[in-house]
Order: sequence, then C-alpha cells, then structure tokens
Amino acid sequence: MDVQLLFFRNFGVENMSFIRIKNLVHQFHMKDANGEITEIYNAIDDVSMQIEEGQLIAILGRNGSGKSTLARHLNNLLFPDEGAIWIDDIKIRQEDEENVWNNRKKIGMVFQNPDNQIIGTTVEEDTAFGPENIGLESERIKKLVSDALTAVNMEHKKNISPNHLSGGQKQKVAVAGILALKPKCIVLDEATSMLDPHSRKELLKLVMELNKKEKITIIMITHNMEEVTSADKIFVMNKGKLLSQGSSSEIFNNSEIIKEAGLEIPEIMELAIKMHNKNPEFKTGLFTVMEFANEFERVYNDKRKQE
Amino acid sequence: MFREITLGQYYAADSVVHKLDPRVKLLGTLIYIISVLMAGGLTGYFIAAIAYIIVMKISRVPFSFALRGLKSVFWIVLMTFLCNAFFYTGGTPFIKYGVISISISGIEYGISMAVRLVLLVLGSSILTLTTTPNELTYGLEKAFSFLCKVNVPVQEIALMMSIALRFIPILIEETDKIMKAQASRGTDFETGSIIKRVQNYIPIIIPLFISAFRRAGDLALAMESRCYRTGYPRTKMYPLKYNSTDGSGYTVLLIYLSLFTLLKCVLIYIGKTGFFTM
Repeated sequence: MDVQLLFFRNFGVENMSFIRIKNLVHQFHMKDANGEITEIYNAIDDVSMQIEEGQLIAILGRNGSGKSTLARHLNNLLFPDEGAIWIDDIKIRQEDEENVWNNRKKIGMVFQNPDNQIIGTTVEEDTAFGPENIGLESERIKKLVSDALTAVNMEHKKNISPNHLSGGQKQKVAVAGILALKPKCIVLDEATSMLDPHSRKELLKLVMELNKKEKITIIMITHNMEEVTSADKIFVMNKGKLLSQGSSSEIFNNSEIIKEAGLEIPEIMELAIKMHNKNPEFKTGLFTVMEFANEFERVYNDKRKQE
Repeated sequence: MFREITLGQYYAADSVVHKLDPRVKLLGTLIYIISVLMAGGLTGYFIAAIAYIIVMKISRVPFSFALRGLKSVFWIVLMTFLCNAFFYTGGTPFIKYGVISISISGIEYGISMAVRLVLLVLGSSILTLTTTPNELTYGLEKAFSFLCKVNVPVQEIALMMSIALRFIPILIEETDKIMKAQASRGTDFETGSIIKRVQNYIPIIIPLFISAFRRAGDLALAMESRCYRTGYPRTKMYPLKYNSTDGSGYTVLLIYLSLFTLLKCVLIYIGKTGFFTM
C-alpha cells in the first residue's frame, strides 16, 4: 500500500471510495507503416472521479470521447500512463499480477458485440468460463453457474449453443458469465448498442435489478441518454476530458453541457424544456412520456382552476 | 440458416457408446485402425467389419447415417483400386500394354486396399458420430495432457480448438453476408474463367480476414477480462471421470486387439496369410 494512502487512512483526510481515479492520463501512439510514432494523443486527459459501492453510474460521451478507454482501465485491461486508479483502496499496478487478477474478478465487463465475447460452445459452458479460469472446484462451479443463469433468467437455455440465441440473450449470457465470478461491479461498455429496442430494454431492466437487489455497482457507458435517466450519478466525457458530473437531473437540465459533449437529449426532455421556456411552471427533467403526460395534466389543471 | 449448421457429424442418441469416456473412444479408434492395417485379407476384414457392425448396433446410430460419410471418399477408394489394379507390378500380368499391367494379384491387392480404406473411414467415423466436438476436444486434451511435462501447451491448444469450433458458423455467416454485399456491388461469382472467378473471391477474403482479426482481438479482451491467463491450470465444470463402463470398454478393446494379433500370428506361423485369409 502506498504511503499517501496510509496517510489518508490514518488521518481521514479523504473519504475512501470503491473506485477512485486521480488525474488519469492514457496516451495512444499513432504509428506509420514503418512503426515510427507520428502522433501521440491523450485518449484520456487528466480525469478524476470517485465511484461508491452500489451506485448506478453512467458515463456519457460520443464516439472517441475516451469513455471505452476509461472502462478498460477499470477492468485492468489498460494501465494508466499518468495518474492512478484505486479499487477498494488498492492502487492498480501492472506488475502486481495477483491484484490485477483480483480486480478482474471484482469488476466484470460486458462488451459491445455479443458474438465476440462468448467463448463457450454452450450457454452453460460459457458461463463457467470465468470460474474455470480461477481454478474453482467442479461442484462450486456448477452452483455458481446455475445461480448466475437463474439470475439472468436463462436457466432453460443452458444446453443451447450461443449461435442459436438472439443478441439480447447473448448479452444476458455475457452478464451471467460475469455474475458467476461474484463481482462487485459490472461495466457495460455500450452493451446495448447492437441490440433491438426490446432486448435493450430487457438488458437494462436486468442490470437495474442486479443493482437494486444484489447491490452490484453498475457502470453504464453509452451515448444514449435515454438509457441512463435513472442513474445515481452521471459523468459526461468529451475529447478525453471529464466535462461534467452530477445527478441525472443536474446533467440533463444543463443543455449547454449536453450540446458541448455532442450528445442528443431525449425528445421528450427536449419537449419539456421547450414547454418550460413558454411556461416556467412546466417542470423540466422529465424522462418518460408518462412523466411528461402527468406534468402536462398538472399544469393544464392548474391553469383551468386559475381561470 | 447458417446458425443451424451442425459441426462434424454427431448423431445424438442415448447409448452406451455415446456415454463412454472420449478417451476410451479415442483409444478404440486407434486400436481399430491398427487391426485394419494388420489385416491383409478378406477374413481379417470380415472380422473387423463384424466388430464395426456390433459397435454400430450398440451405438444406435442408423447405418444409413454412417454410410453417408463414405460419399466423400468414394473417388479416393475408386482411384486406389484402379491404380493398384492397373499398375501393380508384383504378379504375372495377363494383360500388358505399356505401363499398364493387369494381374490377378494386382486386382486382389486393389480390392484389399479399397476395403481397408472403407473400413478405416467407417471405423473412425464411430468416434465423431457418437462424440460431440467438445467432448472430443476435452478428451484429446486429457489424453495428451502428459505432453505438458515437455512444455507443450496442451490446454491452450484444446481451448483454441473449441473456440475455432464456436466461430465456424459465425464466420460462415459472415462470408455469406460479405458475398451478398459484394454481389450487390456487381461482383460476379458465377461466370468467367477459373482465374477470373478466383480473382473475384479476393474481395471476400480480405474483409473476412479483417473482421476475423477484429473478432479475435475483441475475444482476447473479453477472455482476459474474465480472468483468463495462459500458463495457469484451469479447472472444469464437468471433469472427465472414468466409471465402470469405461473399464469394461478398455477390457473389450484389449481382448479384441489381443485376439486379432493372435490370429494374425498363428496364420503367419502356419504360413496361411494371403488375400483370402489375413
């Protein structure tokens, strides 16, 4: 443990978080055909953030904003060029293989393409891949796999080849594969972007449930604002920098930030903002059609009473 | 439709042969091959064929299903027979014209070779008919695990094999997609000279390779993020364990091999080997 951390611990200077990122920089080296470095740019540029256990976190940003690179740092697939990351108060070091391995157990990752993250030839076998890697005994693996498949409601498909599943089902299997490692946190790296609207909703519902019931920290990385309306905390990234952070209503009502980050406000929110501009009584920060309808009814009834 | 593709020629059925440990079946295949190669005459082939039929009966795989496998080797069998029949130089030819010499012993040898090939194909197909590709991979991993001692990465090779099996249907589907995409841009796969047609396949192969490499990169990340690391022993959810049936299986195999060898030795001893015996 490093000295700085001991100092914090003993004197309580800083409150410890589940994940703490400090001044993280990650550089990409662009090379030409001869392997000479032509350009270095910072995919992540001086980003600091704290994530508490059990939270539902969203990291928003458009393509190339550095959000996926950040996710890979959380999973220890990449390591900082500058700055540092602490997970459960332990600083990540590439040399510390045991700790890196432990972190991968703690923090699982669902990737974008459902086909490219399933390793096993049956659903059950794929779910068992993680526990098999960490050398658990067969009885324990069976229990973990069966629990994980039940949690994602895929128990009835356990002997089926992943090739016969839909995209949404494959992503659920990917989640099950992570759950079988008993993680504290799941990172979804644009995991819904290749799914149809129905599967997308189902996957989101599943991760929300895991967050509520199992208290698993969920970090959703996306450019789709509609998906993250119920997040406890939202980080907005742009060009490798952390543009803003705050609760969902704080972020969503700040249209300048959203514009700067190149994101699109959900239509219903935009409509609410327009209504608010006409009539300040009309609340903004409405995420669903239902909320909008209720608010509309309220304002309409108030007005009728006044008349 | 490509999702429905079945790999290998596994025939699902509930039989003793299906339930045998893949290692027993691997050794069985090896022993069968040895016995067929040892036999040199019709009696020997007859015994081997009987053994094949008995195992097939127990395995409950329909013969018609197994015989399908012969279709692909038909031309090889025919060529083997013809080459031996026409160009065999050992016997006394009754027709001789240039390099062609047809003799009784040549024809006998041709038949012998053809039957041997057929039996080899049929015999080894029992393994693939009654064992899923996964079981087979795991069986091979276990059977060759002693090679770990001389630093052969057996576990990694087995994992590579099973990943390759998983990605075959995905890559077939991808090929189909790329072919349609290129065809919609005017690539013609049907007409033209052979060279032209082969050239037309280049715009399929290049995107296919690029996407396969991209997939491989993604998969490597996903595997790493799920705690995979090379060189560390992995465990299995369903480890292979021998039971009493496997013991009997090994015994039967050994009895078969010993009897066959004994018969061959006796025939050699009394000098009765040949086309009609062994």
